[in-house]
Amino acid sequence: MNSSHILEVWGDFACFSRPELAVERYSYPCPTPSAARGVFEAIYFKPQFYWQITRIDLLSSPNYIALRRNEVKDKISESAVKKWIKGTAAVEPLLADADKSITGTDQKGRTQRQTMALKTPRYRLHAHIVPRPGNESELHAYNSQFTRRATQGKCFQQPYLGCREFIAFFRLVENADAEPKSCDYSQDIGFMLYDVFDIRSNNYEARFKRDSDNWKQIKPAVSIFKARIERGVLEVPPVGSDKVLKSTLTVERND
Amino acid sequence: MLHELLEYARRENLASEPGFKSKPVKWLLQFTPDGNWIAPPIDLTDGDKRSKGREFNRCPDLTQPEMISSGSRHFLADSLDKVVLLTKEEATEKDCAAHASFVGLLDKASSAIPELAPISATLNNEEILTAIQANLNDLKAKPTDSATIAVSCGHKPHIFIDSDEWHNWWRGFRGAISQSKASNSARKKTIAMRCYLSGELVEPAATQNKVTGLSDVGGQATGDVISSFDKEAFGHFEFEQGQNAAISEEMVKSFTDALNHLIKRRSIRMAETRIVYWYSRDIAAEEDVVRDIFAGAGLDEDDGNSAKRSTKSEPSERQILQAESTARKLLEAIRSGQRDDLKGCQFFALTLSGNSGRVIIRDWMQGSFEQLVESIDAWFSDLAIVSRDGKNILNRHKFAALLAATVRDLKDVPSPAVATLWRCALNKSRSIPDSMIAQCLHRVRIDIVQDQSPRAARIGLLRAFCIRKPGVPAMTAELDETVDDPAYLSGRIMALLAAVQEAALGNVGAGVVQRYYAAASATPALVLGRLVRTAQIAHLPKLEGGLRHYFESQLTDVWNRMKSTPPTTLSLEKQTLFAMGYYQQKAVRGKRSGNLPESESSE
Repeated sequence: MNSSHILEVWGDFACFSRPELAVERYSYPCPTPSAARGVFEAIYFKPQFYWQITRIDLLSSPNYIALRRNEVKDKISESAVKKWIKGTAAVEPLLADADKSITGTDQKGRTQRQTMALKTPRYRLHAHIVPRPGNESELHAYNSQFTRRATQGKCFQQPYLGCREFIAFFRLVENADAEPKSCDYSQDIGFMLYDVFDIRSNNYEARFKRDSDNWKQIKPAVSIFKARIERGVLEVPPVGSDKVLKSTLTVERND
Repeated sequence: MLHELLEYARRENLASEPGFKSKPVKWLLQFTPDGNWIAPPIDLTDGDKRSKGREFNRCPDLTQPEMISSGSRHFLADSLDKVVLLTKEEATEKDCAAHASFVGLLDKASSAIPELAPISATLNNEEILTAIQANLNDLKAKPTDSATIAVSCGHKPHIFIDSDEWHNWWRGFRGAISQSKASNSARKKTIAMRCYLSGELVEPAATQNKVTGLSDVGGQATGDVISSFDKEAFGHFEFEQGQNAAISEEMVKSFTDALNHLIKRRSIRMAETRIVYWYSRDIAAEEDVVRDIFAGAGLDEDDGNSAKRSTKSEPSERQILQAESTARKLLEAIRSGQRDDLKGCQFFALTLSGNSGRVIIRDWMQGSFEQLVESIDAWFSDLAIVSRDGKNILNRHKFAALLAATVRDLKDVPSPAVATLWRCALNKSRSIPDSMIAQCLHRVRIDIVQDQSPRAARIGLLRAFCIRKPGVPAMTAELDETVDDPAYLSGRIMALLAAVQEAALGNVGAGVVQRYYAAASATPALVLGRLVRTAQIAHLPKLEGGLRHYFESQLTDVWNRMKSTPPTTLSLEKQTLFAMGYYQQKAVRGKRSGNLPESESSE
């Protein structure tokens, strides 16, 4: 039988941006399954399995805070960086505080954006390990390793709550019955982002291989599900469930 | 939250088909069936100068990218410079091209609506155009005023945009624009993605429709979008534009239409934000507790289909009182089962503002109608405070006055504070934030030191803070002689000392309050002992027997109740109690003396 792991996570801030409100960001009241998966993966992960989030408990009611920050509009191009490394092109800085008068375009430089983040969030995340085919026999070892690492506070990168700058602290919950109940908060969220990738596919597994050809194969496949927080609990359906609506279809346009 | 807007659009039967939009039209140009112009144009505003004209629910509409890609103007309804080439100065080449485009569309549509062909020919006739322009100039029409066309043969004019005869032609025309746009696109492939609102597999809309009506809160006059991904840094995983937040064109249209509808009809401007609220079912106007109670924040809304605007109207006290009693009556009716129909009703509230063409969502609230009414009732009950002359209990604080309680002027209120206080008003278990109370206390201190009685709204807010903050003694609206908190008693002593000095010496300019209130409200132990000694030596001996005895007994009573020395320093909560004690003790004095100086008694 697959054992479930429970992590309590908290931090000063969190922002799980709603995709439909992602430019002037507004956070979901709780982590998306993919954000919760990221927390577990930061502590322990191997390409031989994936994390299945089953439930998210809100331990405190969502408390929003408005943050307005200067951000940049453009990204550094990967191909340009390669050229700089080879020395075939001159390095062009990404100006973090420039406006149109300096860059000559509205597409570069600084812009002020609002973030409606969550203040002092605290959650309990429930998940279990699902081994990929051929790795089922290792499940016990995976579970033991995760428990050992989480108990000791080990992680290969600091987990975060939605955005890298909002770092998360964690502790392994060993006796769920002795823990406080989730808060009394209910909300119909509507369709919520489930994951950006199909975590079951080899395509997703390829993210963790250092083979450049595999990196190119990685295509996002956004999936969503109907989410409702009931008395502080968000039940997450398994990725294979019909409740998770996937979009993997590619349409050729008839010209 | 957007799915609740969709539900609202469905319930209100808003025209949410892409290519159609509700628009106000100011001028109606009439023609005979033969295409002859009938003077004069009809003003659809009915003489109301603030009106933008009559609202037509299903007008043809093209988005900006569609207009650019097709080179077309709007069909049937457009501004007068496009329709009849009415310009302030001589028409430029660009003006002529836009006019030609408008007339050209009429000509194209004449295949489906033959009556448009003679009108199109008339609008191409320079002589007639000059006559129309002269007539419009006489009527003081502006080039930017909107206009449409109608055919009239003696009786009621047949306004084309009011009928559905052109709808199919228009759908076909728009479809052709989309196809041509797609075929011109370099992208041959598109990803079918799940729509975040419908859950269907759809081709995401690349851009979104504009939300209008936020220009007074940081938005643009031409409108703002909920999300746009034109800047590279805001896209993800090589998605292009709308693919980053996949929503179908129909759903985008629906929720923006709903939001535009709500902004016009159910929105309240507070400081630099606009609060939009609605219910899950129709609520009678007299039961709309939010509208009535928060109207004081500067109501700026439409009353429905008319263009009358009650801008910046301040509600009368009667209106606010009535709203308060409505909340109580509704609550009783829901609890006693008389209004079971309201039990399942939900309310929703969005707080919005604009930022460089984008809509900022600052807050989202939803809850049951019963909770809402209960919270509003509790809100006014918590804010109740005795008036400075001690004669009345004031609980009719306008929301704007409460916001202004934390700053010198209402315009200084930061946008996040509006959402915060709004949440406190609609959720009775929510405490007033410490930061807000710190600012409020600062203003109270300034009021007192400047020899002005603090505004009742400020003290009301302090009382609500005490009631809602765990661990702070709950305050009553009037002086509570049973409270033995040293901070509260210190405030009372301060008020008594000020009264003693005033009775003994009259107006001395900078009295004990002006000189010592700020210090006493933070470090009473350092100040109060000295002030009491001064009163005993210099002030009380000057009073006559009865009055002297009264003040001495009052001071002794309060001092005995303290049971210890005054506190050395006061925390924020204790400073609040100090201010409450001072204010309430002073109100008792005002009540007993019967009248206050003119400057203090006026609100």
